Amino acid sequence: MAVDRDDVLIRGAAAHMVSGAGVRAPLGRGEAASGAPRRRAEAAVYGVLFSAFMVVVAQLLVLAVGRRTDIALAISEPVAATSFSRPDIVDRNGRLLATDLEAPSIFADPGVVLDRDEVVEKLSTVLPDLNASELLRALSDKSRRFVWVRRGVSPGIAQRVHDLGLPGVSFRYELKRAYPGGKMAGHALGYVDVDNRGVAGIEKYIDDKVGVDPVHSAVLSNRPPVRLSLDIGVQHALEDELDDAMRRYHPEGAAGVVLNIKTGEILASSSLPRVDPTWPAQTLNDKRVDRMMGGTYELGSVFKALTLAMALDEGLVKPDTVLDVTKPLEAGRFTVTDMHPSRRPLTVTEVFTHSSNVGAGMLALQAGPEKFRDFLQKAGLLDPLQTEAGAVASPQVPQRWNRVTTITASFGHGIAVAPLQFAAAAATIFNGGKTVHPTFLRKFDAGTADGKPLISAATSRQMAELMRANVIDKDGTGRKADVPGYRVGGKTGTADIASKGGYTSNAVISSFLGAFPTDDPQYLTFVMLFEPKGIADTKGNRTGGTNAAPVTGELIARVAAQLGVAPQLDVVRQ
Amino acid sequence: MKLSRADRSLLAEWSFTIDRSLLIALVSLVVIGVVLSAAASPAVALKKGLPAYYFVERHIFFAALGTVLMIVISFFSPAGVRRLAAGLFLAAVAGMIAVRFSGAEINGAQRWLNIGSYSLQPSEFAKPAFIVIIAWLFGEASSRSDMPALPFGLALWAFFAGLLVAQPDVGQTVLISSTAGLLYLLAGLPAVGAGLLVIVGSGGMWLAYEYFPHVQSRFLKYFGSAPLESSQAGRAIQSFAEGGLFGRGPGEGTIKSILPDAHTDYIFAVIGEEYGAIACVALLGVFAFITIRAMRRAAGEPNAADRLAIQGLALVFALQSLINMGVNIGLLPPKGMTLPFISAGGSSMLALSITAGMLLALSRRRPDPQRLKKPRWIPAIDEVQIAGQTPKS
Repeated sequence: MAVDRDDVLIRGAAAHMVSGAGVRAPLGRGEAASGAPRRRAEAAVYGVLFSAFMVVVAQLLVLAVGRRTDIALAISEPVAATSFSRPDIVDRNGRLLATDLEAPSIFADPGVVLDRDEVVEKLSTVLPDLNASELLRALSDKSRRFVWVRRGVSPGIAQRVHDLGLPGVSFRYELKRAYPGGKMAGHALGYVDVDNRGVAGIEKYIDDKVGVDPVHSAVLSNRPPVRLSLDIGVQHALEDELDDAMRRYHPEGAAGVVLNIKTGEILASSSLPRVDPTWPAQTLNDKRVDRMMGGTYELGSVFKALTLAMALDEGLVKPDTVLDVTKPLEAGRFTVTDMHPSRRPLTVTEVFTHSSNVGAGMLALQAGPEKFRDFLQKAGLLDPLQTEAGAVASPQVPQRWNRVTTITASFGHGIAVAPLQFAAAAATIFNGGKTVHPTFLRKFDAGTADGKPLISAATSRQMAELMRANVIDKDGTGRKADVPGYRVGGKTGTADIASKGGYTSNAVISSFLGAFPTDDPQYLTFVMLFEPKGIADTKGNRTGGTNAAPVTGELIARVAAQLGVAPQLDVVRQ
Repeated sequence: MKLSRADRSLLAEWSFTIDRSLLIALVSLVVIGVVLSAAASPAVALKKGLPAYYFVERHIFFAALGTVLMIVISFFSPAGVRRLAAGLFLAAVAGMIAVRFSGAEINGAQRWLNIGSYSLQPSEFAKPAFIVIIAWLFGEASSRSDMPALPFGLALWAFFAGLLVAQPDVGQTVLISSTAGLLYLLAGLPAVGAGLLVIVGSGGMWLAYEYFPHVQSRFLKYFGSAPLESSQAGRAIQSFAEGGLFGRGPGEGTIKSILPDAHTDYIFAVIGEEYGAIACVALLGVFAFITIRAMRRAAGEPNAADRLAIQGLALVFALQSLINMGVNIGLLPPKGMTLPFISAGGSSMLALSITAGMLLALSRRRPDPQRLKKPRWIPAIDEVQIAGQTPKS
């Protein structure tokens, strides 16, 4: 500091020596006396001003080239309509199921439109389904500056509208959800609304639990994709086989699921007729309901797998215990009979393979209504079930558990559950006895069932053997489901459909509950056909063993290798 | 028209002494303002139920009037500028006091005086006048001690700030106080005083925050504890993002039809959306050029009062544009401040024309005996001579 001052003094003196030979020049009026502090102050002020200008430039550039979603998030209310950017949906192997695409949306500015009749007329040539009167009304209000004409059109349509050269008709790029698989897994995926917000299925789950970002223009999401448990290959095989079944057996509908019995992961789930996620209105059609989750059905004999598992686990019977099933079972004002009554007493194994209603009823009665109900409760069949694709239709359960309801429930009547909920309960029986929660999300932790124990591992093994026996025994009902090498086990079901005042005898739901490989069960399949017709191949039969069983066999033959199950051709007939 | 150097007429002298770059920059700013007004204001006018070109016509009228005013004032001598400032200040202060009694209240503040069909904002006119007067007082204070200029200056400052706060107009108070504070520093007055001023200023800001609910709410909005959405400020920020580097294109903007102040305080956001960040930086460049040019002229001005007046006028011009742009891009909490020559508004336009006219008048080249005598740069060799090592011839 002191040095500076000296320096200034010397400089000043030098200046005067040069200019006036030591004579001090008179200070001009108003001339600042203190030079150095002034210079420093000036430098500081210039510096601050320069920095301020630079800060403004920097902020301008940051705003202009910065990520727009950040700004969009900071200001939740938009200039024009907000839409939402969504993460992609991929299958368990990362293959794309749903993504956002940039799509042009057409809007009009009534303040700029010159001739609204011309605009509406010409737009109608490109968009024939345009609501002309509504658009005319909207365009007549000159104070509005923004009227949507059509959102999310194809680039070709946008080009044709552009080529009309209508003043006041412009475009805005928005996000539009696209499903590369078309109708594949449409029920599970759900759909989005015009603002790209999830309304149903996995799409709604993404809105509620994963998160979507509001955007003002076509800004793609940078969130990681949502990885589902579904496997596109398995899903395609299931849908293809169900399509085939629709052609062969002419049912009203068909549904199927492939489940990992240890993790509860749903590898494929389908309900025919399918829905296209890009046409949400289809879901309003009753015929297109998701039969896997959206409806409850009396499933019939497949329920016997549960009844038998309970009886074995409780130690009431052993597989070779003999039951007298020759006489019908009295149940109140009903009499329970078998479709093909046996003329001799059957072992428990035979009750299962012959699918004896009387036998199942006797087993349930041995346990008693309380115990049977508790077992179904613990298996998760009596409480509402929630999945990522939405709520499963609530089970319809007998209000009072007495002799009648216990007998009917033992073979799957008088109790209606969603097929997915039943499949999850059935998985428990083959996975070592632990309950599983069905999920549409990929699980990355080790594939072991960690739910509450329902039955013992030994009972679970016995059940797998029974299921296998039902497929390989010469009078087993599930013989048509066998696939060489993959040790398929299964149980058939043919349920009469309840209608007003009773059951119709000519409409059934036929189904097949499959598990493979039965020496170490990994996967469960459940295939259902709704009101199949008897055909020549089945000799007019509509039972699960004649239609759902062969569909399951073909399905397993296609997907077992994809699922990593190795064939063992030397144990075809173990 | 070709003028001879020998021509001693007023016009000829003016044309040779005026800072032409500064003049061209200021006039082009006025022209840019007219063009941008035509882009931004029709949307606002239509929304308010006025004819589409209502604001454009007014803008052109005031721009023309302002340009004439600017050129006329630029003919003034420094003493003339000070006389003009004194007169203008007295009139404006009278107006500001009158506003207290008869002014219309707009947005919760009494700032406007109705004269015929036009409303006038006296405080805008007081601004340049105050700067010139306070520059003169600080200049006197720094160069002679036989006059109590400093106490006068501080008293005037307090008086003017008090009038502004009474309106209340916190933004203008901050603007003129920062300018006056910087002038105090630039005058080379005692540093102790500068520290004191900072304390008084901070105290004043705190009081404003405590006693003016709108200041508090804007401050809270800006610092995020109150919601920003749907506010003009929030949407302005967004428009820069929408515009990107090159803008959506002239006329393609949407923000102008949403913001009620799109033609005044938020015109910068309209420019950002329609013409892009590069155009904004270019406009900023014009403001920066005018400031730097004036500052450089000031550096060579030997008379302290004139130097401080140029610096003060340039500062108030630069700070006002910086505050307006800073608000638009979300760096500062919202306050009612126009973008010089670009924003619509008659009072602001005329007052800024007076500011620019004074700036041009003071920065004109004048014969200076000191400059003729002294070399512009003291060569380093002088120091060598002091040390007694006279070079041999």
